[in-house]
Amino acid sequence: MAADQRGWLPAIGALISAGCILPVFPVTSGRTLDKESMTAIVPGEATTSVLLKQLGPPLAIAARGQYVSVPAASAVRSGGASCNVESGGFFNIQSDGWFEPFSARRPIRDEHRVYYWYGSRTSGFNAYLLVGFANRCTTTTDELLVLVDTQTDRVEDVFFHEGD
Amino acid sequence: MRKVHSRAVATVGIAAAVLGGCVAFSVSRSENWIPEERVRQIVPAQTTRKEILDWFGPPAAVVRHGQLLQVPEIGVRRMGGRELQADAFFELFAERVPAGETDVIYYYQSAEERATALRVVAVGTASSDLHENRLWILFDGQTWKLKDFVHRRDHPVAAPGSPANVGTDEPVRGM
Repeated sequence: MAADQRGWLPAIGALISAGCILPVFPVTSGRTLDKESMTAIVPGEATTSVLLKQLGPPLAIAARGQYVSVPAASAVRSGGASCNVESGGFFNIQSDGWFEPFSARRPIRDEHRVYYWYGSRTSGFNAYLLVGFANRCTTTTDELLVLVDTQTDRVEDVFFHEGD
Repeated sequence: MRKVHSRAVATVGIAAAVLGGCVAFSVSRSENWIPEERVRQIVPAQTTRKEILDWFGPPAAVVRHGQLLQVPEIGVRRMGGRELQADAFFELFAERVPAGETDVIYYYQSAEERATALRVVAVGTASSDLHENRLWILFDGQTWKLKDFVHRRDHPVAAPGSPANVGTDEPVRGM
């Protein structure tokens, strides 16, 4: 490489390397579903009061065939140069989906209710370069469904799904 | 040598000032994302209902014939609600497998918002698309045998079968 060509290298290097990559500040919503809280909920033994003591009030309680309104999780969405957090609002859902993990194992009766919690967290990155920027904004939600028999006031079954 | 350096830096500086542009890419992925690798593991008549629930979680809707159902709006966040007609879902399978009165569909939905922007000097352009990622799994409601499934990752403005909907966005079907 000729000497005059090598003169460009520092300038090109500066162009390429200028900038930084920052992780998205994690935001959680709902209830942090740690293993310790969940192991205390033993199906057939735990009562509703134990359940509420471990996990706090559920985000929804549903009988089969109901439509329920659930507080929406905070999520990150790109607002141009960075991932922005959006919060508030509700989503409506048919409770039948929540009963499916349990109806595969036992008949569902009128006195059954599903107590629903989720734990949501945000992740991703913001990359700021000299001539552009890029970002990836991801929201992951874990869901916990607990089947309660309202006659006996006991937890009958637990289903946990970890978000991808 | 020093003179060459100065000239190079000055040229780059002037070029940056004149062209003065930037490019931006962003991807926002929704909660309850449907993982592609799990979809590829679904095998009709073999995969069980339990495996589906373990892999994908509780469905957004459990669909039976003649129902009107409500699911959250499709987007980066689960928000609001919209009504859907169950029969439209069963149409997806009508030409594939014999219909049964007790058939049940597990419906899952997620989405990814992709945005790009480009600015050169004072002129800029930007676009943002919502790419839906949906999964319908058909079960025999009596035996719970998995009969068929449809997975679609749709580009919002492309017609089905167009180049935008093939490759990674190609609908994956069972059977």
